[in-house]
Amino acid sequence: MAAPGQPMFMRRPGPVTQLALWTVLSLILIVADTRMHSLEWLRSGVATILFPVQRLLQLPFEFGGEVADFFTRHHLLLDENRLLRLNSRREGALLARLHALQSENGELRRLAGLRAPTAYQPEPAEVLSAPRDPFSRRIILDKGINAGWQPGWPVVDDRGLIGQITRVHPFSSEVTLVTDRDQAVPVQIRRTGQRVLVFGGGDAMEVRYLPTHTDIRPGDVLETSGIDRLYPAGLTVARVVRVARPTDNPYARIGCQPVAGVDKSRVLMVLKPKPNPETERP
Amino acid sequence: MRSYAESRQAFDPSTGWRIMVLSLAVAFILKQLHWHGVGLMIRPDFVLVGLLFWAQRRHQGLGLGLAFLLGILADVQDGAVLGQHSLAYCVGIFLVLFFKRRLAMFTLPQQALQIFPLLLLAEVIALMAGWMTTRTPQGGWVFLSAFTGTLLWWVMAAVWKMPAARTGEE
Repeated sequence: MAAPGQPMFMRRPGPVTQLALWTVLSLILIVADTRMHSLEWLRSGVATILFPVQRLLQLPFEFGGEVADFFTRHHLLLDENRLLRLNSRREGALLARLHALQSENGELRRLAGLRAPTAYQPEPAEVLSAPRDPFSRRIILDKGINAGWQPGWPVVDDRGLIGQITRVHPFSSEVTLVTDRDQAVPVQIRRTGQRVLVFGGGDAMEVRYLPTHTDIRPGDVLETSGIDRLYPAGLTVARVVRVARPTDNPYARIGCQPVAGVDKSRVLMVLKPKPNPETERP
Repeated sequence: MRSYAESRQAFDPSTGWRIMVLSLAVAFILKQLHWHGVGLMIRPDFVLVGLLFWAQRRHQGLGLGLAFLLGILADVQDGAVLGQHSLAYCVGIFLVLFFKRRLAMFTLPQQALQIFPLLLLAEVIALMAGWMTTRTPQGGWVFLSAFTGTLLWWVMAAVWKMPAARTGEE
């Protein structure tokens, strides 16, 4: 029996005993994680060990992308460059106007005695993996405590809101997507300004608790209202695709589609709240 | 048709663990790749399939402790409740060990038919564990991934049966 590579103990517990043992251990873990939330250290530890592997797995893709970039045709690059320069010039003009408006807005808010809205600074982030979990819609990003990130920060891509950071590990962090069932985002209808709540629903989203006579129709764009002081105002969240007004129910059933590439984008922006000098003033 | 018990005789357990560790590592890496869309929906649980595969083929079986550890890794990878996958993996391995002799009597397609409910059961256990503790799951894709998992298992088993796959150990 005692061949090399085999356990030293001659009498191991029977298979049923072993199963019982590991089952009990699993159940203890489940309870400790969900009821007492006392296993964050274990999760963070394992996530830290996993990080180099995840990072390493990204390298071939990055390298492939670089090789593909290298063989891009010259005139394509030139065209793109021209377009980008044009865009940058146009946006520069818009930005100047934005700065003027911002300072005017700040002035008015100060006059009216209102608090200044939180300013945000975008930080780029890359998606490490998108786990398949039937309970939630999440993605894992490649930075965490090491970049000073904190739970609660909004995550966006170039089209709109993606989600919110919900868990931060030493080198990675988890983002709960807006399509997650437990995720509710306070938004307003861009056309009418009506404030509503949009809930995640797996792949799509829905607006709940809206009376049947509300003015909302397919094609309406929902953007964050900013009243929760969590998401900045004006981020595009979803587009209404379907409105049903049942006669037997006081609430309309409104289906939406997220505007941002919730499960497609690879490079995202994390919005880091900037410490605002005006809010700290008494 | 050659019975499965015969082909297992040729497998020397003292060197087999290297291939096992390698294949489980590959399974882990495959799971970690950036899957999205339909691919993510039908992605089999590579690690679970690998575990079931080796539990049946090793003389000594496979420790439930290994299944437990890999389960915890899977939980962290998925951001799921800790212990959810370890419970599912342990039960899956136990059942394969329990039915090991019985499985050996069947041909490969028949074995695959019996692996499918095992995979499904393991996935459902993980689902139930999450359901009881957090909230109702969304989407019933468990069935699909159990199906693709069975196909993967079949391919692995067929490759394993080919004589060329085992020349290294003889």
